[in-house]
Parts: sequence; C-alpha cells; structure tokens
Amino acid sequence: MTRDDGSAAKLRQSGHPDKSILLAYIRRQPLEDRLYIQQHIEHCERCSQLSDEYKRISSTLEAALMQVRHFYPHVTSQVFYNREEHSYESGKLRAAHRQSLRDYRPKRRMARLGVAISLVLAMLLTTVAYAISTNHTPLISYTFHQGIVTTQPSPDLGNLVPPPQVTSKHKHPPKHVVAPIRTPSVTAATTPSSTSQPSMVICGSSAAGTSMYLMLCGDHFTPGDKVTVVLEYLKNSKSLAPVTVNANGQFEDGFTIDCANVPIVIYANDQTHSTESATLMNIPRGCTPTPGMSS
Amino acid sequence: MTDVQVVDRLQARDAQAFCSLIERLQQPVTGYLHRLVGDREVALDLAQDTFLQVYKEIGKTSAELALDAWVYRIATNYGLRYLKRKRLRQFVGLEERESFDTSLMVARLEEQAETRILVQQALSMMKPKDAAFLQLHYGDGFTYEEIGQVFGIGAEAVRKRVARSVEKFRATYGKGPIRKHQG
Repeated sequence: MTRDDGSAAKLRQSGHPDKSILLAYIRRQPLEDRLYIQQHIEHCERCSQLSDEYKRISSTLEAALMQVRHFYPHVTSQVFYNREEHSYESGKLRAAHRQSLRDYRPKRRMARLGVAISLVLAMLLTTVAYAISTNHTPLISYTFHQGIVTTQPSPDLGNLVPPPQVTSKHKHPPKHVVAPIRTPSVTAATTPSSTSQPSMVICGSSAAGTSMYLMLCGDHFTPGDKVTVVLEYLKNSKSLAPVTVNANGQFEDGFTIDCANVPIVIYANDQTHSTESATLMNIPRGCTPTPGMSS
Repeated sequence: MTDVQVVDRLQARDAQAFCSLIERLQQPVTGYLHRLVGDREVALDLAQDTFLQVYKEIGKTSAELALDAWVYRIATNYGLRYLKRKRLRQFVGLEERESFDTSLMVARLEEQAETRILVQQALSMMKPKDAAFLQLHYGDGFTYEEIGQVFGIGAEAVRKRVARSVEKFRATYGKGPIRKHQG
C-alpha cells in the first residue's frame, strides 16, 4: 500500500531503487542515501514487498548457515615448524587427520606421480628424437674424405687407433701395404687410415722457448711421389717444401711452430697426383715436448 | 596487536604468531569451507592446505595486508577449485552426484533440519562463486567491504553480486530433488 502525501509523490517520480540497493539496505550495509531508501520503501508498495521478501530470504539463509556450528579438529601447527626443518614429524592429531583425508589425498598424490612420470617420458622421447634427427652419436662422427666415407674417432678422444672403414663409394687406387716404421708418440686425431690409406702422425717434437719443432711421419703414400705439407692456421695457411715419399711409401717432414699459434689442421698433399692424401687434426697445444724425441 | 604487527611477525616466521592465527581462524575457515563444499573431511583437508599456503606465501605479501580477508581468499580459491573439479568429475561420470552432507543436519527441530538441507541444496545448484558470496555474507557475517577484500573487488561490485546471488537462490530454493513439505 502506498502512502499518499507530498513526499510519496516525489519518490514515485524519482523511480525505484535498484534491487541490490534494497538488499544492501535490508542487510544494513553502508549506503549513501539510506534515508531516501527508507522513505521510498515506506511509500512504495512494490519495494516494500520486495524488501519483505529479501528479509524472509535473508533470515532463511542466516538460520541455515549461521546455526551450523561444528567443532573441527585442530590443524596441527606442528606442520609449520617442521616444514622449516624439512621434516614432517606427525603428531597424533595430524595422523588422525591424515587418516580422515585418505579419500581425498591419494588421488592428488597419484595425479602428481602421473604427471612426473609423463614428464620424464616426454624428456626421454625428446632426447631420442633429437639424437635421431641430428644423427648425433657421442663416440663416432662421419666424415667424407677423398670420396670415401669413413668413420673417425671424435676429436675430443684424441684416439690414434684407426676405426674400421665403413663404405667406399669410389674405387681408390690400390696402395702398397707397408707396416708403419715408427709408433706414433703424440696423441692426435688423424684422418682415418686403413692398411691401404695414406696416413700421417706427429712422430716427435721438441720444445725450445716459445717455439716447438714438430716431426711429421707419413705412411702408405705412393712411393716416389712429391708430398707437400700444408699448415692451416685460423687466418692463413703455410706450405712447407715438398718431400719425396720413399720406396716404403713413407715420408718425414719437420717444421717449427710458435707455441702460441698452433695450426688447426695439417694436410699432406700429393703433388704428383694432385690429391689431398692425409689430414691431421687436434695438434697438441702448448710447448710440451713429446716423449721419445730428443731436442 | 594490530594487523600490521601480526603480519610482521608472521613474515618473520614467528611460531607463536602462527599458533595464534590458527587458533583464531581455523574454526571459522573450516566451517566456511564445510558449508561451501558440503563435505566435512574435504573441508578439513582444504583448511589444512589453506594454512600451509598462508605459511608459504606470507613472506611475499606487504605489511598492509588485510590478513583475515587474505586467508579467506586462499580458502575460497581452494574451495572453488575443489567444487570445479568435483563438478567436472560428475559431468564426465567419474563421480556420482552426492546426497547432501548429513553432518549439517544437527538441528533439533525437524523443520529446521529440512530448511537447512533445502538451503544447502539450492546453494549447490548455484555457481560456486555465487554460493561463496552468500556463505561469506550470511554464514560468516562478512560485510560487503570485507567480501570485496576477499575477492579483490569493490564494495559496489559485491553489492550487485550478492543481490544477483540472492535472486538465483530465490529461483532455486525448494526446486531441487528434495522439496519442501506442503502443509
């Protein structure tokens, strides 16, 4: 029912307050125009009914929600202290609490375990896929040299033992098979050598101050051919005077290098047949003389 | 002791301060979670998680933190997350729809118990966040401003949200599988 006086007419003209404002008024929440709303409810039947409805709902909700008071077991504060020490010493209360949570916790733990296993598997698969896609193997790398695909020990191994030859795409002129005269005494990776392939090793060295004399020994070359040793530095290269391969297919060549400027690669080029016959990599750095070679 | 001093002590990992905090807030927070999720055991678990989170994260907060609202915010997030997962499990059929928590039926009078179940039923049919607004306001006596601190919104937005939630409650109350006795 609407009151019929002067102020009621004013309120009717100004419109009804928002439902949320009505509810906030009923719930005694801070409002700017509280007096106006109060007057409006007093004069407006519709808002009066709505506010009564809100009062009824509010009392239902309060009765249902506020009257439920339980005593819950304490969340043991022990867990907080023990977290600091990375140990979870369980009290009786916490043990009882854990027991009560058995329906909830295990699912979460299993879910976490599942995620961890999935991650490990994913990482494993990624690693395998990467290794396959890049054709990367830790011990053996492939190189193409003089038309012959051979396996070569990884440079970091410093291994002088020649690995087995894998395949040969092109016919290579047969070489005279001669046993090496001198056992290499320097650990350096060379181009792959089989019984018929030219090879080269550092067969001796001697240090003198900041420079070092190196002796190269070639084997399995074509007897009588002229071989030129080329020292490949980072920015330039230097060719030594040609030497002649002896009747056993071997040659020796010596040169002095600066200990601070060691060649990256040393080639032995067969001048007679105009081919690159042998390559030597991983030349030892520093001025450490090789044992077995006198100064 | 002011809130700022309490937060200072908590940030300094003061064990006594944590004990006091738990002493003061554990029962209301667990009760709130109990009403929100409708399961006593889950509520206990979520309360434990809430206080662990408080312990872990208190160091990252500012000294002007509204402590109680912040704790309730963490509890609310845990509660809503639980309800979301629960509803998803129910949706995909991994979990059956539960009957209402009988531990909430502690009223002496039968009618009060019935009302409580109907209210709980209506709230469970609403969006969890809407239900959380009503739980905080009617169950825990939070003002709109305090609810705003919990959800990180302004009092005006809370006013509209509470009103909307009440309207939704009106629409669902007594219309679930359990209906109010006539006469």
